[in-house]
Amino acid sequence: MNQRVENELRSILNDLEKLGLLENELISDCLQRDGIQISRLNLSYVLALVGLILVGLGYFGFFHVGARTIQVGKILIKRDVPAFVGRDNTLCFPAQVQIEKDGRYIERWHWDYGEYGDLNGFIHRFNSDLSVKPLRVTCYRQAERFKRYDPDIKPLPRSLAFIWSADQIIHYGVLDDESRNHGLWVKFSEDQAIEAELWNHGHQVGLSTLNNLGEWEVQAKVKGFDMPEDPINAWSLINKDYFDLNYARTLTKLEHETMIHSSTLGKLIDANVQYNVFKVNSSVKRSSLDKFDEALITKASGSANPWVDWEKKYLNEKKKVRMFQAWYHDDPTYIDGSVPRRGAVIDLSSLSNSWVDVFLENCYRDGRTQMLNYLKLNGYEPIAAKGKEL
Amino acid sequence: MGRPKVENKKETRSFRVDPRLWRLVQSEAQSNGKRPTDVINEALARHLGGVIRSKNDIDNDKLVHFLSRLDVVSKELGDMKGSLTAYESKSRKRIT
Repeated sequence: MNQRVENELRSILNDLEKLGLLENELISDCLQRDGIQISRLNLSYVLALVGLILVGLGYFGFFHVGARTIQVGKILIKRDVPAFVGRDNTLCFPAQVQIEKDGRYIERWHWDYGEYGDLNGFIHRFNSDLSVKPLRVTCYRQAERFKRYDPDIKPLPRSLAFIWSADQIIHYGVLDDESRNHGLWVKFSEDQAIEAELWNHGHQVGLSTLNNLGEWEVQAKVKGFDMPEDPINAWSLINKDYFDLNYARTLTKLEHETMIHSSTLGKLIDANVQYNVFKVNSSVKRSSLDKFDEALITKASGSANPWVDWEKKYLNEKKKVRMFQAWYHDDPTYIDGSVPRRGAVIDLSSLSNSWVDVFLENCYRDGRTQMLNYLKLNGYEPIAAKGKEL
Repeated sequence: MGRPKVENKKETRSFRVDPRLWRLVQSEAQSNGKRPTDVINEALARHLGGVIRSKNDIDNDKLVHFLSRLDVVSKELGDMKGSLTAYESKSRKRIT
């Protein structure tokens, strides 16, 4: 080989190295084209093999060994989570499956509350909506036990569902054959029904709200659909055949600090009992009712609807609270309706005379002159004030 | 008396290559009755033009410069010229 050729190639390689191209790599590339190369492991094959092993181990761990925690991306799946006290001192039931995303719960599955209650074989699936503030949770009844995580599994059709918000708002309604909102949905604030929505296969067709006087007002409705005058009593009738009464009764027996099913859902399905009483009184077949129904009917027919009584009492107490506010601030606008934000006029005659007498005496004793003038204008005067200047 | 024969004579490599690759080159050279350096020289003369064409670090002016120098090397080697042009890429043309 000509030495001059070798020198020139050496010079070219040196110049190329100054441009950042390594001599070793250039020679290796050239020799490779002549079939002279060091055998190397194929990186893609190695990665594929490692991936296959990891997937295999994960599958084996999750389905056969009973791995308690598997993390896929930012989603964390936990099994057999014991009960604990969550945010806002909320008691969280033990969950068979708990799914978290970015540290927040997105799903919890229950099929047995153990010592905290019995789901009677029904399976609960709580689904959190992280896009809504405060945190909103929808609870569906599920047909099958958890087998593997599938966010697209739909809730059981023709079933009761409820939506619970962290601000203690809870909605109850039913789902149609395609798991869409249907029928009458009632919204409770704590245990007071405040809003009713009418749904037709996934489309809302009506809205009613409870005003300050405790009366339902229709806010909007689609032509061809009528909002019920009393959504509480109508809930069971409208949603009939779209929910399992046994499941609803099971829910009312569960105890929870913020999901107060007994005094919310209880009102809705208690109206169903009234409906059955009506049917029995109307000589409809009594034999079609099961023993549970009979026991409840006996109880219901023996006394007035306890929820109706409770609501009357609640409204009465609400009036008294407003009266106390007026006394405390010596400000009749709390009860005369002149300031809309403080509610409608309170009819003093709707309160018992003995209660009003005590109230008058207290106003006189504490020098609530504004209130005494207002009461005087309405024909109420404290006995002690008679003949005296206020 | 002559000069004593040196055993285990240290071999001088003309190029910096991986020791394993060098052993392969040695073996190839031995089977063809050549020096390892010649094997590398021939490979460089044949393929270096194609290799540096595929490197994006070199602009066209420099590429033309190196290819011209490699053409001179090819002419020196004479019989290798035909195979050198066969390796020239179709995607990166020389701009002269």
